[in-house]
Amino acid sequence: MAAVLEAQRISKTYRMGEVDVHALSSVDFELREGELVVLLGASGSGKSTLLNILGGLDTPTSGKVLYRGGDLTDAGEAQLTDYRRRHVGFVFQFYNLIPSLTAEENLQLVTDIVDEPLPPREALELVGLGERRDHFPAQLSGGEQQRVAIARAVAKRPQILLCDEPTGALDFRTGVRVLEVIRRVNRELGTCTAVITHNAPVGEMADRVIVLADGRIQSERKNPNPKQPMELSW
Amino acid sequence: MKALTRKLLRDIGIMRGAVFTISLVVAAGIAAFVTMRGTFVSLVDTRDRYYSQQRFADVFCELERAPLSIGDRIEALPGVARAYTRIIGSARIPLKNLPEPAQARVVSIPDDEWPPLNGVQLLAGRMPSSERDDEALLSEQFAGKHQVRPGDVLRVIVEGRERNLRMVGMAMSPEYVLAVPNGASAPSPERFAVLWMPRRAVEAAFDMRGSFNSVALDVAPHTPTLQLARKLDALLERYGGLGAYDRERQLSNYFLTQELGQLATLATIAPIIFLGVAAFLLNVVLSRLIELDRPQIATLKALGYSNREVGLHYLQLTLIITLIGAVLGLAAGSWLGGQMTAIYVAFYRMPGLAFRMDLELATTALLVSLAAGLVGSFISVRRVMLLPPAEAMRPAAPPSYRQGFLGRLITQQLGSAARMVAREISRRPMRTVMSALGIAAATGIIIVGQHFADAMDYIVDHYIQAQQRETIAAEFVNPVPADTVRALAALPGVRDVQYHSIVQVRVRAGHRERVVPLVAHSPRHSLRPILDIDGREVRIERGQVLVTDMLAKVLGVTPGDTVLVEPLQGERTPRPLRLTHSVSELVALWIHMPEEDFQGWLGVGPMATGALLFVDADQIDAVQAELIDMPQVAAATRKSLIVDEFRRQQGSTIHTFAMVLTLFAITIAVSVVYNNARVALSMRSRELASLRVLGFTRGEISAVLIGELAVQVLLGIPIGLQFGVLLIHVMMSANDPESFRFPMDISDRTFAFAALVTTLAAVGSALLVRRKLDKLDLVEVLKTRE
Repeated sequence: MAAVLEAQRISKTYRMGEVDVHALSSVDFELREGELVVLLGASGSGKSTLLNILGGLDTPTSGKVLYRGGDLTDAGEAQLTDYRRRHVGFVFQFYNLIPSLTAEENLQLVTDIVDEPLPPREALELVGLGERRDHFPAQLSGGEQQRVAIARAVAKRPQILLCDEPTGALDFRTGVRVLEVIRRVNRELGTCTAVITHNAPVGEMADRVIVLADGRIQSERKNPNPKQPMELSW
Repeated sequence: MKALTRKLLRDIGIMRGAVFTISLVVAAGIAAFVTMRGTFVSLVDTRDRYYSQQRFADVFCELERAPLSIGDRIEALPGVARAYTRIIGSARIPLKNLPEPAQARVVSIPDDEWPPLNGVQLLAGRMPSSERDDEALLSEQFAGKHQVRPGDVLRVIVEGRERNLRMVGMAMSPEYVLAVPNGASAPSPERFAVLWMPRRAVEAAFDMRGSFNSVALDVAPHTPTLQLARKLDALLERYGGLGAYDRERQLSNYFLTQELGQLATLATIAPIIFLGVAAFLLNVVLSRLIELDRPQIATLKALGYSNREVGLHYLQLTLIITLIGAVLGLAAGSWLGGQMTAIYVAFYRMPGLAFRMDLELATTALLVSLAAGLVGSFISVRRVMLLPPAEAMRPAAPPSYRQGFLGRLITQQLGSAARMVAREISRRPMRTVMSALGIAAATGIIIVGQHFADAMDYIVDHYIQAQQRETIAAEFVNPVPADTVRALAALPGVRDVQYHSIVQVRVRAGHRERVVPLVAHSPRHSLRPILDIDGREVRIERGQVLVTDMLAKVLGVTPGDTVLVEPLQGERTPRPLRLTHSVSELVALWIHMPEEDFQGWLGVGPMATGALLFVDADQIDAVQAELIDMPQVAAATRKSLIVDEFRRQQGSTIHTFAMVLTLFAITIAVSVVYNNARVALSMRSRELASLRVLGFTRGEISAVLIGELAVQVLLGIPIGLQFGVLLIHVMMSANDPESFRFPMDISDRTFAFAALVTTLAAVGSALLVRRKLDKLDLVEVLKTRE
């Protein structure tokens, strides 16, 4: 399978407040056509940093990032914006919905700026929230907000879906529903998907599981028979 | 509608308090700009149009008497396009409703012809017939004040003779845009009339057949007026020329120019202050919003919005606030401008004087407010654009507080709440400083508003009351021997009579010259002392010549220098005079000499140009009437009338002005305090809620929030008091320092008022925010993520 997105020996050091943080050291990573990868790691393992770099939100201190063979490493701000705009869908741990916009309007934020998006309502149907499109984030439960966030990420028909602890703020049952939606998007739309989580059992639904620790890849294994999210338990 | 636009509108709804208060500050700035600039432009346009339509002359000169043939010689002077000779005389109009007769100026107009210069515009009735000597045009303002209609007959005293003149028409002229009586320091439309009469009638009335005593010149373009004035003076010297002057020194135009200068200064300063404060507030509010919106900014960028699009989104918020402010300001400004212009219309008579709000003014106002908005949001918007999305995703690093040595020393003495206040201030000193400056601006503006009332009181107390101690002042038509004045002591009720001697002189120092009064002083003359600017009496000794410091500055001389002085009456040979001392006075251009030196220097005996009388209150009317009936007396004015008139005329304008400025200042104070408090509340609500959970009372956490505001206000007010003084200085510098030195005396009442109003506005707005603090939902605040 061809690599859609590739990271070669990337490292990242940044300053937070008054401290230097070495978030990633020489990490190699590939995301291939149509696959669902789970990145496992404890907090501080560097997984969010990796995801941010893969998604064009951040740039590595050293190493290379290639999207479909094109080099993103030295891309300027405009190119990165274009990359995010056209190819990447993000799902965040805390949903990051705009509180002053309804569910449908949050999706519209995305459909306003891309060519040939999914109609917002259709995307909401996909995550099972067609009925709640006129609700503001504060009127939705955490799981519902996360599903809206997924719908928003998917509405642009991205090549890549990057999910940062999508279930981190949710209880088990709701988390499973959210993972189901992610899997459905991956399987039905063929969007290659990377999910980062500290929750090891989630790895069982992935095609591939990569474990990160201290900014390095500790292990990588393939899952010949990924489980359905509803079969998971933690 | 785009989803981002919708977000913008909803954000505005949520922040309506901030949007509203900041818009009001912008509105105040724009209103001040539109009102003052608009009034200024309307006045200038109307004046210029009027002057050119009515061919207002460029150079003027009064003289004793010259034959008409001299007119041709004047016209032959190089640079003179046209010379218009005429006769101007004075008269009095006794009216029942006036305590003393109105002053009238009789001005000749050509028989059956329009004046070639200083046009007279007929507004009602008809022109007087040259066949009759009892018809006149009356200045329409005086006619309006006394309800005189065309065809009415007025009793007029001309050259001591009472005559009945029929007012056949009402008119106005660029020469008398302002009705300023002789010796008055302000226009007085009720007390001053102009009577235009055919030349033949005026010649007869003043015994001026074949002569003229006034000439007005139309000067060819690019002619230096000063040189021309010198030539004219040389020509008219033997005819008793009183010194040629240009438009700048023409009385009506002079007052108009003064007023315009003040307006222009105000129109620049006031908007800068308001828009500066608005820009600062936008900065405060936007930077808070951006702090709170970090996750949203990151999300938008992650979704693929470019830096420019996200930046523009926040910029639009600013633009909407400034636009709301600009629209409110334009509306308020055009209304206020109308009001302000109406005040001018009451005194400044020019046809078509009305407030006009043209496209250019509105566009400028709009651009100026947008510029302020851009300046205010530049830093914040730039921060939005530069914020890396990945960083925005993380909560902001905790603000780093530091504990310097001094901080430790201070904070050790304080309780927890005060310590938090102190740390917050030391972490963001610029915010505290800027907020204090905002408060200072408000305080300063109030002082400016109140100062006009102070200045009026000061002029009345220190100039009119203290320096003019007589009850009635009489001016003589011609100087009389001083002895004759003593006869006035015989009038009933007269306690004291003193004479005074003033002669107009032209002073030259190098190429600079001025026409100023030279005043004789005697120790026996206590009714008109020399007072310096602080109100202290200045004694003058034999051999001393006192010059006001302003005149010295204008002439470029210092005490000890000798200048060339030419008396404009009597023996006119220029002679040197050594100026020995300088004195700082309210009225800025004078020369003082002891009486004996004055007589010796002029080669005259004791002479009086006027008389000063101190009269018992119950006899004032009788004495004044008696004086007015004397043929040698040109005018007899009671001081109380001057005071009343001064107060009446200045009063309403001053109070309106003070009220508007105070309202504007309150807007600033409220907006600064409210927005700072709101920002502090939203940035620190988690911290404050934590304190509540720890057991702090509402009062105690309010102290943390309000303490910071209190520091800003307490810091701002004293700065503001100084700032007010500075503002007044700047405004006064626009005045012509040669005319009248506006006193810088600011009363304690004004300072106290400014401090009180600012404090009340601050307390009121802090209470508004305190209400929100009381409603702080502890659980909800602590649950939400940073």
